[in-house]
Amino acid sequence: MLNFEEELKKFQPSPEVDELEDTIDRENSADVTELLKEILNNRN
Amino acid sequence: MRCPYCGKETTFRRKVCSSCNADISRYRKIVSISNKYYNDAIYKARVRDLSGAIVSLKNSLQVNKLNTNARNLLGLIYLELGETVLALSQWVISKNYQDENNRADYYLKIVQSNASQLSEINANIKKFNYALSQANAGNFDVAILQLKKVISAEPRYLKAHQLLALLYMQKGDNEKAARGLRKAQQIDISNTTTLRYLAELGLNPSAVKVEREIAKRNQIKGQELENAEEPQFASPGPILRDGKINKWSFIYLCIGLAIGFLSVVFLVLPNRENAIVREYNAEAVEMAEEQSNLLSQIQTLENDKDNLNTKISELNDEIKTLQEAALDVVAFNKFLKGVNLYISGEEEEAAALLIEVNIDKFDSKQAKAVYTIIADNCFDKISKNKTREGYRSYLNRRYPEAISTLKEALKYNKDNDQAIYYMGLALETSGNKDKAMEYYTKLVDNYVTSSYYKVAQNHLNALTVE
Repeated sequence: MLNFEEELKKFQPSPEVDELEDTIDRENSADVTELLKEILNNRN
Repeated sequence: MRCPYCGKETTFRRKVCSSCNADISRYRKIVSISNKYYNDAIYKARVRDLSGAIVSLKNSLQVNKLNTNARNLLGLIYLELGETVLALSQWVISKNYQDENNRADYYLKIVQSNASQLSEINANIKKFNYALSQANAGNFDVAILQLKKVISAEPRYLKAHQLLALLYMQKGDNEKAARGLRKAQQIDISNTTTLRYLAELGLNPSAVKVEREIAKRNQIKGQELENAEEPQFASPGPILRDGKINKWSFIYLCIGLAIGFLSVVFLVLPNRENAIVREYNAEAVEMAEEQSNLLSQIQTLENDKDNLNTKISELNDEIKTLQEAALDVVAFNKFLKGVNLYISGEEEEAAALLIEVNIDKFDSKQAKAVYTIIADNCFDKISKNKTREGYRSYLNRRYPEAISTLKEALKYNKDNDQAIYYMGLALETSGNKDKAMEYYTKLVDNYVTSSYYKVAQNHLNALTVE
């Protein structure tokens, strides 16, 4: 049985055009290659 | 592929960088994993498993965020789900990592080339967010209307379909919820939210898959039929037999027509009417809500106006009080100066100041007593002096001077009957007969016992006759 209130809470507002910059910052996180580079640099 | 050490382009197949000879075997493995996730996403996207494709692409980018192909595809999938801003953000990041030969250029150009289209997309996103806020506030009818508008403008907006279905489910309108969820499933076949809602409604979540299979088979069958040399049609039972109409076929046809007509009258039309009534009711609810909002705004503004008016009135009273207090201070200073002059023997100067002071406004009894003493001593005396001066001016035919001086005399003592009479004379002789009559009348009406009563009466009679 679905709990309506709980389900409703799962819906989040969609980002608007003027929030594009924040969205880019959020979406552009570090990846494994960066971690690898860091490890290699520390070794050297 | 770029070498992580020197940043120059190198062949993917080599274990060592062709420029700096560094060992890039580990890095190569990581890039390879990222590409595998990307390939997996392509397969999923092809069968419209968009949620699955998003998971794979996010994994691909977590491994190698420079994988612009994965990023571009993720943007496309977001666009397909109606999440335009998320799509734009992916393409902007992609363009940032690979400035040339990047497909993101093309996508960004398409979306951004039409400013009005972008503005409409943004307006639609705002409408969705508003609908969500209304749903959270418990205004389900408003939220449903907004979501319908959102879906009408952007039929691929998955989240809008799902939210609308959830609201229908809450209202108990499972049929509409199911229809909305089927549409959502056509956009993204394996979205867990859609599948959960369908399961909640007791529907087979894989029905769309089955429908698609059937549609695909029919399509293939249709193509096969088209390709066949001799088309195969299923022939219906003959209506004509030996050139005559088959009796039973004709009866069945008539019965069929009658059933069709009745089903239109009893099933289709009432449903259509109900749909129109529901639509009308929904619009009425929306209008009532807008009206209620406007009325509450008007009420708020009117309350604000009343409050501001009250505040203005209070401030005006305050200003008045302050002005009066300031005037009191000025008047009291004048009074003190007048008293000083009187003490130093300059009676006329003292009287000139004191006559300007409104002693009734003073609270101090002592001040009033001092004022009365000075007034009794000075004002009448000065009034008589001024009367004499004025009369002399009159005799010397300097009428304007006479009138001015006699006015002064009456200022110090308004009951000075002599000054009133001379004023009448000066005005009459200078030609201002109407004003002269006013002074004569004043004397005749108010000072019957005055020695100037009779002469004033005579002048008045003479002027009246003229």
